[in-house]
Amino acid sequence: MIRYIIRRLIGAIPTLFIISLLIYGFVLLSPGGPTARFAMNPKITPEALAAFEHRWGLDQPVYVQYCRWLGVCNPDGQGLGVVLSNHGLPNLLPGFMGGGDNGVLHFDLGLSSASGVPVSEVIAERFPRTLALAGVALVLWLTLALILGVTSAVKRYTKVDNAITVFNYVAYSFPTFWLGLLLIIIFSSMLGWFPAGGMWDVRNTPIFGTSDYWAYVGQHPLNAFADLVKHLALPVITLVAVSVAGDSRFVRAAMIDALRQDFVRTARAKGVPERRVIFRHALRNALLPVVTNIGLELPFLFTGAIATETVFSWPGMGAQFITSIGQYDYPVVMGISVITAVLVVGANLLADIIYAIVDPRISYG
Amino acid sequence: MHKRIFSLLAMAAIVASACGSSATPSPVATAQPTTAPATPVATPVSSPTAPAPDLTTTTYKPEAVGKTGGKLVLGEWQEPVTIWSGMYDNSATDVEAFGMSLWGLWNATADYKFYGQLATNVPTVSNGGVVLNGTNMDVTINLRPGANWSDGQPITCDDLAYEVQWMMDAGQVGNVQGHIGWENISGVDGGTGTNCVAHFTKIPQGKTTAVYEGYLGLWYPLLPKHYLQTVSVADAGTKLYTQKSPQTGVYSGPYMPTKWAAGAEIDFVPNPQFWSTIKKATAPFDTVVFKYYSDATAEIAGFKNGETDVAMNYNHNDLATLKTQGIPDAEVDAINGTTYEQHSWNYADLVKKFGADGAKTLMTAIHYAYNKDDIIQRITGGTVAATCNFNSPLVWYFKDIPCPTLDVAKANSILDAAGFTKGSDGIRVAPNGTKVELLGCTSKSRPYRGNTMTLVASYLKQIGVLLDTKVVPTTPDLFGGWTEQGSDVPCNTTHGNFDVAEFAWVSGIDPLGIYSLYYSTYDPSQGDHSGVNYIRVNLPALDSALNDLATTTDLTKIMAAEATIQELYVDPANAFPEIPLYFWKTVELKGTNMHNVVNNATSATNTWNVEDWWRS
Repeated sequence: MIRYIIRRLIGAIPTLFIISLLIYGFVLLSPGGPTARFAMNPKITPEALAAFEHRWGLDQPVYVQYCRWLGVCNPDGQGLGVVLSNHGLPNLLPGFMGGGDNGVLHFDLGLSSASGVPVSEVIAERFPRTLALAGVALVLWLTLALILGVTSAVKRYTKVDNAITVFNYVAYSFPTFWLGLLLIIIFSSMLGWFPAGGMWDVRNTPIFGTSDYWAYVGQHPLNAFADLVKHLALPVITLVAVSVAGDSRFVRAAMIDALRQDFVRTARAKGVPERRVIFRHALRNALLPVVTNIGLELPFLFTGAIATETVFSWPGMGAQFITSIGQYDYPVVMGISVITAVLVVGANLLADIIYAIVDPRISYG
Repeated sequence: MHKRIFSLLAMAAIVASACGSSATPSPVATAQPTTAPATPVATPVSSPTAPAPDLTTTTYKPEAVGKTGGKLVLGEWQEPVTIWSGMYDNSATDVEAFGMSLWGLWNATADYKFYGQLATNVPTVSNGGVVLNGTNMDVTINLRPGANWSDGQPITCDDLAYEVQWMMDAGQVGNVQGHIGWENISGVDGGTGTNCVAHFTKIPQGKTTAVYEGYLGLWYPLLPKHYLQTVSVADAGTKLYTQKSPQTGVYSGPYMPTKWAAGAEIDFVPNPQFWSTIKKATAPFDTVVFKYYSDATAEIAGFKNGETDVAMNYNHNDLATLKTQGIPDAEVDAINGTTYEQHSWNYADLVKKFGADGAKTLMTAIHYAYNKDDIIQRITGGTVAATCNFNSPLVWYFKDIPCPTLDVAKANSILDAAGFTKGSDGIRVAPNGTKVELLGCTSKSRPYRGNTMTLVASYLKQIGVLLDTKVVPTTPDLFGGWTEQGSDVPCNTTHGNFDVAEFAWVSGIDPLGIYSLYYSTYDPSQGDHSGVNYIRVNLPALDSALNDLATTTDLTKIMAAEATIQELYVDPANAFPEIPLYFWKTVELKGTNMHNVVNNATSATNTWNVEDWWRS
């Protein structure tokens, strides 16, 4: 198994390289750019524009920009020496070995061209907020998907199954942003039950994640918890409603397949209680395709919550991604995109490992 | 999505991209007397018959603060980009948030009057604050005596002088204010005192030379010399007034930022130096928080839900949502804004296609074919009023000229008389044999513009003009620069690849703000291609009137020149290739327990008088 994991990790390197190359190309090919904010402004002279481009390295050929972003090229280097660090060694080597300190290879995602804040800090600030939303949504989504899927399969073609099916199709048909706005109008504007946006109550709660916040949590744990739950409610409902529909159908189909298998019939013939047949025998087998699906979906819960985070003003990675695109903030867009790519590759690897755990017949030896 | 309102020469700005409403972000433009005539030793001569317009007497009278303490929460749906209030970015939201931290020398009231912020005087020729002397202009600026920066350092003339030097530094990177105006300043006297004199020199403008008349828009904000000097000029944008550590900045306004949680909120606390040395009062609030929503709908819901005390940045398009969500009229403050929706016609292209006479005839006829009331009813639900003038009725030099009325029969008869004959398909053919088929362009970011253009196409069809409409990305397609965008990209306004394009301009209060929009040499096809005369208007009478504006200091003469320009603009016989449709509304929501909150459609933005706000 360990050998398999190492093999997969090594195999991920060229995959991530190609993904980063493609993302970088798409970002640079997209209309606009960091200089777009100067468009239509006659106060900006060509010299001022050139100074800006030089400052952010935008005056370099695209391959040099990518090379610098990757960390193979030295931003201070010229000509062929661009691949050498300031110590005269290949720039791609780690800093402690005399290499450079710039670029993704050196864990430097650059600076946000909009705010000047290091991209890693932008992401570090946003990631826990997204994790809170996505984590809660994931737990609820998986639980509900399993419950609804299994119930639907066990009671297939009954009124319960039909009701769940109708719910699934309706929920699946809702565009996320539309459902989100609808929930805001009903539960916030009309009923006043939940806040219209944000992650905390700015009147009473300090900024999430700050030392003031943790001090507040320490002093008023119930208030802090209740505040977080109130703010999580609508975005989580939105995320879960649209996600659970697809997965519960997946579980239903897998369960129906499993329930038709000989080993289930055998178990029943042996007098195994129905509950045990369903959860011990059928469900475990039905989980295999579900695990694959979840492996693929997991990363997109972090960035795929873009619409939900945006609608509910949830200050996470998805909302940042949209903001950065609007600001042509290439470094942040690239940073989030690459992290997403890493999550996709990682989650697939994780799914393969879970596969082996769920199904002992599978061996990666 | 972020609102982008690019200011042009400190007063006119384009509103073409995503979202957003009114005010220009950058300096308040002056409506003040300007340059000397081209003759030497020019001293302004006031008209003996008409008194100079009063530019400073405002009706704004704040009520005394009745209660202090607590947290004020302001709702917004577009987050600022930088603390550098209109310097390293140009969003009005930057000014809304940080205009209350970094004051300028002057600002504009809600009724379009000038008042001193860090200056005690509003210098004009008529009050002796501006003296013209041959090729020079001296502006006296009296700073508030005893006023300090937030770190306790005094605010002095040295700050003014250093800011000029700093703005003109070749190491500047990404400062959107550029050099205009600053380049005219040869020096600032006054040293460490508070009575300063800024010396301006004339520089070429268009076909004349002009002293920078927009001086009231400079030093907006005034920046502290001792803070700027702590890093290189090139690093200022990223190392000073940072989002990460806003509390380390040095400020002058009533509230200064302490924390910025991107995408969520910005916290401000009272600037003790402001309240002790400038306002000499107790701050009405202990904390001011800007809370950011993702869009207007959520922000409205948040206001209704009591999450915010004041919610801003709406326009007429949001009025229906306000009603739907049940916001009482008493909490809605809707005023006429300075942003006007308009159709820019590419006159050079019309001339190229139909010849000079054909273009003029066609443009005149088109003026009569626009059914603005229909557009307003269908597109805005009747929430705005039609205009035929590019100037807001609130500016002091506005001339009330009767608007031409819709007259399709007249438009047809004009074209018939000029030899534009209708073909079998109902589309006319110009006397030079060219079929009248035109291209109308709008941006993807604002779908209503596509609908408007479709309506216009239906009106033009009635006079035998075929208008094909095309919706393109705002940038780079519609507004991409000369080198940024290929010369053959359809709809690109810089290259002139359009017949008509819809976007909005923000009209400022500087009468000369229209210079770069309408002066013939500012045709972007000419010179260094940085001009914004997209409509390629080239009228000698217009150039002459614009030069009058740039070279006179007499307010009555400025009014006369502006009147000439407005007459040229409005009368269809002049075939002016810009057709304004309506002025946007600027809308904000305020709780009935909020006091002194007065909506301001100028570049000063809604928070212009936040130091007076209090909550009962």
